[in-house]
Amino acid sequence: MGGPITDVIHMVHAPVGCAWYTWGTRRHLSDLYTWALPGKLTNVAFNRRYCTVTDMEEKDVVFGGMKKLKKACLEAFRMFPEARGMVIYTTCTTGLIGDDVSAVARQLEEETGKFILYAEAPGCSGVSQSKGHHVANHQFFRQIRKLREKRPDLCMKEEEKTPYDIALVGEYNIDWDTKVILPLFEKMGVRVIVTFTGNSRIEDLIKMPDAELNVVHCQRSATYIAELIQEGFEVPYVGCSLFGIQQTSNALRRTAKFFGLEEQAEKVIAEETARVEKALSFYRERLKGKKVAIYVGAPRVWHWIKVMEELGMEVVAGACTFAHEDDYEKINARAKDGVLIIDNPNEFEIEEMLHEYKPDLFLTGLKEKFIGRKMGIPTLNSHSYEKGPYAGYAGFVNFARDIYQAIYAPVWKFL
Amino acid sequence: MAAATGARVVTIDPCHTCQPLGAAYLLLGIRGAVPLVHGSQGCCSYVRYLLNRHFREPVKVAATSFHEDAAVFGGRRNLVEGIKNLLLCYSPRFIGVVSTCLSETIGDNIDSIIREVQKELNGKINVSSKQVKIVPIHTPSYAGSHIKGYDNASRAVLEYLVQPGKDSNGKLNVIPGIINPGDIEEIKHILVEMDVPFLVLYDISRTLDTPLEISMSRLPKEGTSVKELADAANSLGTIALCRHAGGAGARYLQKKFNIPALLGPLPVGIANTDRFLDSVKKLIGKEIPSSLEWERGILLDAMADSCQYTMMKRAALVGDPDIVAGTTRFICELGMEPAVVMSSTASDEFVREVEVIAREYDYNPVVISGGDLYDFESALKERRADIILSPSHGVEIARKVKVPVVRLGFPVYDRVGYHRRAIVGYRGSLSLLDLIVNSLLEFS
Repeated sequence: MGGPITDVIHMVHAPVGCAWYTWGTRRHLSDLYTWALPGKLTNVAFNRRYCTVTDMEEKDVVFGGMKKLKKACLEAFRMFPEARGMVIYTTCTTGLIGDDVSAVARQLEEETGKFILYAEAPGCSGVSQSKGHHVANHQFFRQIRKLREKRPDLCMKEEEKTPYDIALVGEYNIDWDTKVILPLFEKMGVRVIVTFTGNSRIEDLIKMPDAELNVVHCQRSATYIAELIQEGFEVPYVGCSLFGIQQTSNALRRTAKFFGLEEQAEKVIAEETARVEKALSFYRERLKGKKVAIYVGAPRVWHWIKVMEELGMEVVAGACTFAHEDDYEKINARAKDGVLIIDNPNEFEIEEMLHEYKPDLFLTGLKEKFIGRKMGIPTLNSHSYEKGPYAGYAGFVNFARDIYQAIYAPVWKFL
Repeated sequence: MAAATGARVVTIDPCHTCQPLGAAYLLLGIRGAVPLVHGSQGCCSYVRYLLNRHFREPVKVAATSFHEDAAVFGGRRNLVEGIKNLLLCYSPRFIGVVSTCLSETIGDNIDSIIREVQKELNGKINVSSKQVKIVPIHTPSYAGSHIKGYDNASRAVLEYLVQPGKDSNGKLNVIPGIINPGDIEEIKHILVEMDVPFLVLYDISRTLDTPLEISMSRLPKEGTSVKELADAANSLGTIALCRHAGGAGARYLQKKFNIPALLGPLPVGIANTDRFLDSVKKLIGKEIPSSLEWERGILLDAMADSCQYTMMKRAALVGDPDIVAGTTRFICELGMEPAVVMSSTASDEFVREVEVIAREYDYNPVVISGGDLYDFESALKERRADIILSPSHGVEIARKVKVPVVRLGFPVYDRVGYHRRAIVGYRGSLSLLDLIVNSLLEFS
């Protein structure tokens, strides 16, 4: 959740592996480049380019790693003076030995004057990454609120505000989803002041409570902070899905209703829908009647049931890595009778699911897509996408195209 | 010139990872084996993720899935239940229990827990300890790297499994190390050409590169069998292709059963491959056939054809110590100058090896032992390079300093097919040479 913040150093306080494996994996892209020439944005942006870690070794585990952490952070700031701040993450080992990261963060803030956030969510402390989302939401909120109290100059100034400001919450800019989402809101006259946290700057995140409305996309990982902001700053929020035509249109309508921009919204919806219709009908014709199994984090399962229906496909099985009760309520409300739903399946169960339900397509993450493929089932990387973005109207065409390419690849004929 | 590392505390862009990965890499080369990572889910999930990315294959790695209670009260219950679950679901022939930071920090005694489980199994579940081998492997991530993890596992598995018999099996043991399926296939090709009976221990060549054929087999049917591993104690000799990853297993067999062990160098290029063939010849007593001489001749021919492109070009190399040291010698053979040579894992032996090569060819490279990629990048500011040889993580550096890059070693996830390519043997070196020359040409 912190990873997409672009202009900070992401310091993993852990043995080397914990940081190394996450380096450059999820494709939460951003446009902050530290060294490319003007107009030549060919490199990976700062937050994904570098991997910083305290590399805890045996002696550090025995004697405690706080000193090492502080020294490492100060060094990192010296080496990357352009970084506006830092997010420190703890892991099993550093959580277990009880390093007080908040104390180190306080000291660093005083000494460097930079923004220091931290997220203490060791792997072993929860059932899944969902616990990490929860903890980080609360900790970020607390830290942001404190910063705003201490330094009111960081809040958005009255003259900078407009009555149409929103924050897009729980959108991590996977494969540039924001590039197709943000213009939709802007075209109907709503200004997105910050995205939590896709391609965001740390200072913009501090201004999050200055929005008039929070629009929550990933409702599993980020409803927490929207609720906290509602309680603490009286900013309401709406949940939405930005996948597929119907859901994206509904999201725009709901947002527009709040601001009284209904007319503008309908205009945008009509324009955008017309633009993608031709391409979509090509894919719809070819994808009609295909069966789909979905296994992703949580909200995408219920977001995508509708999306698949729009393509004329049928979801026959759905599974989630870290869904909670409310996710399953939403899934059940949308799934047709007879759809198999599994909570947090292991590989054994996934194989069984694919074997029993024989879908024509398996939407899943990188680790599981190879399982499906080996069973002769076309798959799509549904976490980081194949060739995204997949959100919004234009993204929906990409999504449909990638599904078409997966299913209609001639290779399957030779099996 | 050896560059000093260690002055800096923060690690930026590490180029090694943790021990459990190395152990899992090795275990996946055992037939019917499942690595069981004793720790948090992430320790297993990320190992799998990386292997999936590199091989583009499904990979089975299990986890005992520590939560807060296990971290506080110990992971005994998780391990016992985990093993039982694995047995019921997959009927594996082999389970390698891989420890992690977490389990080692809280002091879980996996050896004794496994002994208890074995005893219990003999009675209750429909599996006896004869049918399934369960081996503890200690791989705390905060000590050493993935290379060390492989090395530790190579010894731990043999210690547990080997059964010395009366007679020699007449075979040559080969411990591959963290190299690709393509490399192992090439080594097998050479040994077949030499008519040498061999035993590749921990053979991932057909477990992590498998055909697309619809089968419901839960575990890959290939890989080195438990029986074959037991027989390793009866071989004529052991060659650990990578000194740092697998050397411990070879040394164990030498010490305990008096089986001659040769550790490295990885046979990349002319001299290293010559040496490998000579070692095989000495250990097994087979002659080098004309077919391999032909392959050697083809490589020489390609070197002569491309010397106008390679001579006096400066190369920077980074990666696992044996791959980098082996390739450095080949680079010199091509008339290229090693400008910066860095190993992912710290090793004095690596530094010595590279310095010997550099002296022989009269070069003065910056040699960094166990640095991070920030060190590598900094060294490239002092020493200009014309080409970088590196795993995928170094690609951004090549883009930054605007030189071509040849992907080498582990992991390579941003291009397809590198796990199928070989860099060892005359044929593998030839394919590496083509890559280097074409990358230089493409860039100019």
